[in-house]
Amino acid sequence: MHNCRLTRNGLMDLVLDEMPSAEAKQLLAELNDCAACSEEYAALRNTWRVSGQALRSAQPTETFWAGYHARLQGKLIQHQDNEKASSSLQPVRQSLNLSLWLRFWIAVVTQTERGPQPGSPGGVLISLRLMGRKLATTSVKVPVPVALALMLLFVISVVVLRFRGPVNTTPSNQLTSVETRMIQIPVIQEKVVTRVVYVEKKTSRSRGASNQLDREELNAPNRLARAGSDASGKTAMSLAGFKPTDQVKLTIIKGSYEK
Amino acid sequence: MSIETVERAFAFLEVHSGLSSESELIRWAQAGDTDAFCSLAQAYERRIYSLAFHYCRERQDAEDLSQEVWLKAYSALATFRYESSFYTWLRKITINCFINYRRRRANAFPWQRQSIDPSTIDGYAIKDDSGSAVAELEITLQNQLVVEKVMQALADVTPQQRLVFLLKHQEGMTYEEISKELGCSIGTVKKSVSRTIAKLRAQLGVNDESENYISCAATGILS
Repeated sequence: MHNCRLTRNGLMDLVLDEMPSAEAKQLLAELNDCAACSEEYAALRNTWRVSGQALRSAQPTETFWAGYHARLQGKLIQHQDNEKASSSLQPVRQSLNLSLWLRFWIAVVTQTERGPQPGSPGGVLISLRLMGRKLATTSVKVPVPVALALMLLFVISVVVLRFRGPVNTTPSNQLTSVETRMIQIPVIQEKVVTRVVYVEKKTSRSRGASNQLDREELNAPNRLARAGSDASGKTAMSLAGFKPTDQVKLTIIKGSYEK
Repeated sequence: MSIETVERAFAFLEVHSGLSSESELIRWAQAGDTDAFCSLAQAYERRIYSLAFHYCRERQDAEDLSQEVWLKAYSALATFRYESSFYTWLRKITINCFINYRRRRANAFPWQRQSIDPSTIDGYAIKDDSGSAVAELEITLQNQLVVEKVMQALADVTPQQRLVFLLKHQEGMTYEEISKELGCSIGTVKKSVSRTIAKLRAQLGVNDESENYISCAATGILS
């Protein structure tokens, strides 16, 4: 029984030659029986071929390759020179320096044995040594006051240097002492702030029992204020000028009474 | 001795003389002969450049990338031990360079889909076999359009998918070889190839019912 789904799963492998030959033959035989699968296979194969031809056809012209090869050759030569310069030059330089120094000292030693010869490096060294000897041993006539002054200066500098030295070392030898002191810092006391909240009498009377809690919350600061005022000795509010009403208006609020 | 046998013997000698000349060039190049390496490069530079161009989709980047491949091959030539063919060894270096290029691009720039500028395929020879001048021009334009669409489809897929497609199509590598080179599973390779083909099919409109210019051009290439 032909299964289009299974067949289409294998079509990509068939197009890309990733299928074993026996399986490929079987699949191709199945495609002959199903037009839809055959079309799908043809579409995939054509896409593969067209894209391949398009990629192959998009090539640079011949003139491009001559320039590309020349640029590549230039880069290779430059790369080779850089590699040679960085890797091979240093050990060569080191060995060259070493050999030069060895030759120089050998020449110095041999020349000192034989005697100085003009122009040779050993001869130059020996002549320098002779000059140094001459400088050390030649005598110069100096007047007596100048000589005395120079000697005095020499003695003073020696004395000054001698006595300056230990002065610098004494401060570092002293041990630092630690003192503890009690310092009083003023602490800021908390300020007591009293807040007076005024609530309208009418709104508080019309609410009834269910608002008792709310009233208590609202009147809590008032209680404090009253307590404060009671404590301070002030009298309660007077009823002077109060007139009761002639008509009594009853408003019944649903749920405000118990049956 | 028949003529066929003689011809076969000459063909055998030709093949083997070609191989011995390549191995000789490799030996001279390993000894430091730049000219020998340049001769080696001349044999494979078009293939490497073509891969690089279809991967980068930019001429200058393709040239820099392909030259980087050759410089690395030159530096590492001493490690070539004739265990595989020279081109197989070179292809490994090429794939590594492509992967490094992709990482550099990913770090330097956020991934952006680039539309293919037709001017980038200027100076490229579009081959056609037609005889008459008018037909030649038509076919050239058609082919150029198809090439643009193929390049656009390749630009729409990820660099990994593009590389897998190019290794499968241009290099003829198997799924197993590609998965080994890129360090991914065979399933990933199959998916990459099928997605790229789906993109190409959508762009080219091959075997579509509605007739459009691209599908006509595509079928023109096929016929």
